[in-house]
Amino acid sequence: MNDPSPLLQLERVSRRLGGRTVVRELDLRLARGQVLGLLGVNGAGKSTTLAMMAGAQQPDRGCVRLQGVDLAEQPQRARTDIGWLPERAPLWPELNVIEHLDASARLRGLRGAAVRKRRDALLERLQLQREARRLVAVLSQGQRQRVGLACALLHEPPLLVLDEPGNGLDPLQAAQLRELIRERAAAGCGVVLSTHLLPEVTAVCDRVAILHEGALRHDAPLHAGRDRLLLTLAQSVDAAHIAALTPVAQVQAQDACRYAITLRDDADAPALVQAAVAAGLAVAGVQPVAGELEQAFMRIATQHAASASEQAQAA
Amino acid sequence: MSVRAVMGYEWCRLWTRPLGWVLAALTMAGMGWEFLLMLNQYLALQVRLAAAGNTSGFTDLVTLPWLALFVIAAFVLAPLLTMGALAGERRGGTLPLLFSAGVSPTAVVLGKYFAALLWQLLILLLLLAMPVVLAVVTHPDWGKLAAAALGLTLALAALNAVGVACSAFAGHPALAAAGAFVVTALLVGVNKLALADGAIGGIANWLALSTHLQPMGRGLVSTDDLVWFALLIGTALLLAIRRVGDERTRGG
Repeated sequence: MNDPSPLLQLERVSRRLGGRTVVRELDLRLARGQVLGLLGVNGAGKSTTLAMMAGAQQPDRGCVRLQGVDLAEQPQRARTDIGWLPERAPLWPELNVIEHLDASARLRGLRGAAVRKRRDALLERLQLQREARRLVAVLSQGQRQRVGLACALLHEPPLLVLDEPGNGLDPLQAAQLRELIRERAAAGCGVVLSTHLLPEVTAVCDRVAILHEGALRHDAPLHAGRDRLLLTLAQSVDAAHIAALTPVAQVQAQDACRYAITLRDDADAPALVQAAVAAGLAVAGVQPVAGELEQAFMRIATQHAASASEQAQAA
Repeated sequence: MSVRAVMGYEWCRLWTRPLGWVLAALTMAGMGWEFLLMLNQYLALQVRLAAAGNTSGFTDLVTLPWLALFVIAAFVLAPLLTMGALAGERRGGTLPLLFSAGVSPTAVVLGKYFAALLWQLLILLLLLAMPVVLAVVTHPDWGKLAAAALGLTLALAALNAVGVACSAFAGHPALAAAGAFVVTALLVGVNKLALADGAIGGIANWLALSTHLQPMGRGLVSTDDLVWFALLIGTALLLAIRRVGDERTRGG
């Protein structure tokens, strides 16, 4: 959050659509190599926020800075520095996959053998070689999604903006997508990811921001919510005994026999059980803790439902 | 650069869509048939016309009236080939993709305009080949032919600009085509009432397409006519650019 030169910075961004404020006074930062999950109930303003991040829409107030440059002043920066996959991957149905990727590259001013090589590598990576000569109009939703993703990745942008990228993907493809996102982040690319699937967020994101009625209601790192387990013992022991176990990074007693545990980066649940048994503790069970993310999201969603209900009653 | 890139992919879309080919084939077939009919009539009347002292030749009696028919084809071609240019992108949700690629509204509009215009200019070029190949056996009036070709080119440019502008404002390609038909009909018919009253000059006549196209069909090119076409094309394209720019700023 305190990165002196963030890759992407939203400064008090507001946007009205159809007479309604969809995004209000939004401040967000994204560092290089960071994966930000953007969550919110339907209509929270996620897609509009992503479109502004991608340079496809301009804010009414505030500014979106990419590497310190205001996108409204230099919209051409979006050409090379942003890869955007909008919701439902809109594509030109009259073109085949290769034509589509080539057109996308030319629109960004890219030509030549290097681009063709990169295109072919992406087709292979996203398992689209067999569809390469097929018209986009006849592709399945998952295939279209992968073509959209290939377009977003083709020019190797430092910022990736992905709106529901897992739509239509099977579990294997979804896992490959997560791997791809982590790879890009490891290469220094910043990624903003919007999804309704909380497990996808916890699996791939470093930070989570939750929007509600266009305003930012939650913005926190995800480490605290990852790898937390609830260890249940047959007897009550001092929390310090559990903290001394090698796989444990942090422990918090929930009650006499239950402990919320944050594991070290290299540890997993079996390692925790093994260490506890080796230390003479009677393990009754281990299960994932309902994460802070889920709790935060549910709290905000419940507030939303309650306020909507109150408004309806008042009306 | 962006104009060329947009033009390139729009051309690719025109190339792969059957609509462009069907319209081109129908136009070529219809115009080819009319050309043969008019040529046959000319050959049948040629001797009698010469005997009557009529100095009009092949260009006046066949080529120019035949090219005038192409204007009618252009009234249909331009709206149908431009209707999806921006309304189709908007409907398919692909317009923001262009914005996110850093393509300016000007490049979007001009790229699409030039792609559709180029398609129709190729049709015109193929049609012009018919009278031109007859230069082997006759003596066309090249000056009149060039003026008529210029007039048709300008008419196509104007009708396409109107079509792109209608596409920029419409939410659906069919609405864009309907809008372009209406505007074209107004441009054609704006002076009909005035002409019926016997008024030759006046604003209504100046606004009409025929006032500026017919002289070129007779081999006369005037600055006034060129300015009229430039104004119409410029205004239509500026409106389209403004609308697309607004869409980017305000989100449609």
